[in-house]
Amino acid sequence: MSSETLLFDLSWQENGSERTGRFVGRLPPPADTFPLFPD
Amino acid sequence: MRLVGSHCTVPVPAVPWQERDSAALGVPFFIMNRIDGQRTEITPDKWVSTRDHSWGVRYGVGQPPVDVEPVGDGIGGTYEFFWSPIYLERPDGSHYALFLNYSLVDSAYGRTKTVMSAVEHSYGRVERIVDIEPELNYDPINRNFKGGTLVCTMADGSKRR
Repeated sequence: MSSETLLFDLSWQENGSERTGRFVGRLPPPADTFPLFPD
Repeated sequence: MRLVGSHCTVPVPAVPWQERDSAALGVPFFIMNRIDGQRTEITPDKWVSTRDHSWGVRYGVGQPPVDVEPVGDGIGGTYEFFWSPIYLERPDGSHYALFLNYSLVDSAYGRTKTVMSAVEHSYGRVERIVDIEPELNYDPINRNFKGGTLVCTMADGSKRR
């Protein structure tokens, strides 16, 4: 599987304290990319 | 992912969030934790021919799915397949590539032809090949491949061989 990859940092409040994390989002590739193998 | 992580020594990130609904971003997505390691940027000076894409389960990879009809193997008929990424250098030292992926399943259940091919240039520019008619020669004794011609139809309808 080779999808679109989005790297991002996130900070949020949880029970009154500040939290941070480093994450990776994976999304389906756009339909016009090449080569694109069908599902 | 959990299964992979428990069976190999390569670091595998946790997947805290899977979103199957397209309402939020227009597509389903999933979120992984980021783990430490070496990050490789894909930049124009490092771009070398193919970067392939798929989503879901790739045909012919991993354990065969048990809940769908088998494709190709076991149903008789003709099965022809080639997958040939080729990196080429011109006399002036510049490069381009051919990405050739072709499969033909022809059986009593029907005929399915898939062509995912292109001439690839630097910086990700591609000229799509929309159809291929292979004219290939095989040794009649042992079926070893001897050579041949690929008649390619480009996206604008022109032919290349």
